Amino acid sequence: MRNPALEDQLLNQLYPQAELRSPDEVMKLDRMGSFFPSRLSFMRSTIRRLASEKAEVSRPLWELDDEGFGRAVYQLTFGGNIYSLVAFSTSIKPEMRTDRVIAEVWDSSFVLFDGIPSKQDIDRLEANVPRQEAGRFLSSELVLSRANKSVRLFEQVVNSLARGVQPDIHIIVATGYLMRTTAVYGNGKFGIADRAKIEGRPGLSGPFQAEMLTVWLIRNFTHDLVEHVARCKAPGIAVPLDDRLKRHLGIGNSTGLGMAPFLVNHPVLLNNWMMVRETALARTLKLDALLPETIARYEHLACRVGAHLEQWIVPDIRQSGRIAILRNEWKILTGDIGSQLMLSHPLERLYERAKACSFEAQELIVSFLLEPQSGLVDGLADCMSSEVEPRLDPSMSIGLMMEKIVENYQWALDVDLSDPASHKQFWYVSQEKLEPRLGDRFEDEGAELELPHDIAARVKALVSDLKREDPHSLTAGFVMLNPHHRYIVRRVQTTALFPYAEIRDNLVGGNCLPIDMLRCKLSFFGASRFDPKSDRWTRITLYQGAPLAGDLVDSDYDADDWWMPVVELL
Amino acid sequence: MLRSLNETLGELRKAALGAGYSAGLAEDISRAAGELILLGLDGTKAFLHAMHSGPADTTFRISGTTSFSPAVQENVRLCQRLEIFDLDVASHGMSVFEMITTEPAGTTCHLSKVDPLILWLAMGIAVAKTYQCKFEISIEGQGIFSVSPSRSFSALQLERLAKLPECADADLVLVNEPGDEASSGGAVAAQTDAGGVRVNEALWPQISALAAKTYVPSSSISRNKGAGAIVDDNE
Repeated sequence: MRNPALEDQLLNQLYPQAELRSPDEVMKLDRMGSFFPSRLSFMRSTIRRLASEKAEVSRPLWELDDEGFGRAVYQLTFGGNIYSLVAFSTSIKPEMRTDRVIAEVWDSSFVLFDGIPSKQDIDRLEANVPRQEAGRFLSSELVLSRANKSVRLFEQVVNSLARGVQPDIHIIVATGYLMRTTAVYGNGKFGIADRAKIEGRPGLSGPFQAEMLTVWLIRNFTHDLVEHVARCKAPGIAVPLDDRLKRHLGIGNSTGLGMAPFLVNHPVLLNNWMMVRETALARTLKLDALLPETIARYEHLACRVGAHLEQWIVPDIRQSGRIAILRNEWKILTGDIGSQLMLSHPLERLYERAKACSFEAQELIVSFLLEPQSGLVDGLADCMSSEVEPRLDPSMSIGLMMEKIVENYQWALDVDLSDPASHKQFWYVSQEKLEPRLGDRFEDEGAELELPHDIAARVKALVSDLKREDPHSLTAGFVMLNPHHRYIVRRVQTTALFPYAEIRDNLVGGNCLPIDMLRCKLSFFGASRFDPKSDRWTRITLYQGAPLAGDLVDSDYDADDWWMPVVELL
Repeated sequence: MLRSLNETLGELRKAALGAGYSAGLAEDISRAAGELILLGLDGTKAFLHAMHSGPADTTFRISGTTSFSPAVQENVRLCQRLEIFDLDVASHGMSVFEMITTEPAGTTCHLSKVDPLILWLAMGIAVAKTYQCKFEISIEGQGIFSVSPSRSFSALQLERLAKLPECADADLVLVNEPGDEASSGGAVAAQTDAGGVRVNEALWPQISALAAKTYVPSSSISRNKGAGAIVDDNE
């Protein structure tokens, strides 16, 4: 028979850990909106696995014309299964190019195909993939995506290569990608395979692993495409893009509000991501001392982070200000890091010092502390998926539910609903391509169709009704007679079991910044260079600094050392 | 046409919202309809029947010592009998099963005019999977149906289920047996092996029409301000 208490005791002996940070501290939007990628990020897991398998990428099909329009297929064996990225490159009118979900055409479109596609498969896909949401797909397709060129950079790189010279490194740094994806769809969208099909497969069982694999293959395609166009433009003169530049060219991404409801709709998954990250932090904070080589590694990384921050330049005024503060704080925090880390409990000391700094600095320190601790951290990445669905606990007493609400939802109980600012905003789905959007309740149409993200109001209404009940009576009877409360009761009871399941902020308040939710989720993906374009959408870069396909099979190449990448400016 | 389970459940959930049900109920109703679809039964029709019936005026009556209470008289819960009249399956169907799981085995519940009956049975399947318990459901004139987490139905049983009347009286008993080992993924695995699920395509436009009621009509304000991005963001 299992003994959970004994298991916890043994685990703590094996991996001693400090106390976890409180959900009331961590699950706040301003802190979540300051997260950075870490070695737990999904892209890092994908690359580690690819590298451990020395996965070889082949390109069995390349049918592109001189201008780079046509189709291509990339293939690899991963976790014992063969996957193919089927890519279509299309000529579109410049005025039709937009990163918004409402777009109808894209420069290129992709599917991750399960296995090796036949010619008939590719023909079928060619008729559907470029149409994206308007197309129809089968369960042989695992991920659907599309991307637009960064026109300015793409043309500049083509022209440079066609002249036989490498592009100016400064323009590579300024943009960081040749193409940016504008959507990456998985889990059954438009008929593609449900996640259930792949969730047990080696390499794809973690969250978003199929999507991350797809984006990495798309990055390969963008590199090949730019070289192809340059070669066709100047046969015999054009040169290939330098691998060092290629590594710094990731994939851009434009991300809007669509990501935000995901965090609300998947509370157990959110909990698991956060719990793993917090557990990893707690393990590192407990370390008594560091080996000299580990200290050297931290010193090296501290310098790299400082350089990365210098290269992180965005036009957004708010984010620019935050980056400027962060640069200064980083210098102060890590200026004498070598001697700091020779003291006892060095990482805990560093973390404590960071508490006086901005949230950006605090959360960057979290990712920094994890980076050299693969032995303590990497195994936790296997715990980031979720097989548990939120469920009611019919046998929970009303009294206990009230206790749990006070324990986990004080932030909601503190919201003053009589203040119009407390519910100024509402989340909704637009008829237009079903894009999630945010409205002003007092100015915009559609508040009656709002999504159930008004958690504070729902909790307060629940509490109001619970107070009239016998505290010894059961949830089952309460929801029988009050079925409209089923949604919030399920959330409250889920949070009682999964403490990081709920964002502990008012998501419909006038001061809610959705960009914070986007950055949190994107940091778990591994995105860097957050480049906000408003308070509700951002550009980011994926896989910047990541290994190229050829690097995976190079025994001398460290495929796991690309956190906070820096380009050497010549 | 094959559909993914996720998109099917998502559309059903939105349709329930569009029909006016609350968020929690929409999740429950869509899940139950999904259970029917996974069994190859007409979950679409059952779902729409529930939506079009609208809420009934369900009444509850308790025979026995207490109702819904765990701890009366020295923490002894007494076996009791619950009677429910004119069960509105969409609003209360899942709760009936959940409630009986909190009571001692052998607790019975008599329900009159369960409508739609097949959707309520599907809710029993969903609850059995979630809480790893077993029910026996006796339906007037139709015999007994056993529902458990790992329950798989024979072709003959599925045929019986498909021919159930839309509305009937039923008796529900919580069986005094431990739950079978979890196998809730069985039907999903079968579905993924098959490449998707099939819905009643003739009726599906009604589902889509209900789902569309949850979308806010397009406008230029919504397009720009609501998404916080200008349309022309090209570079």
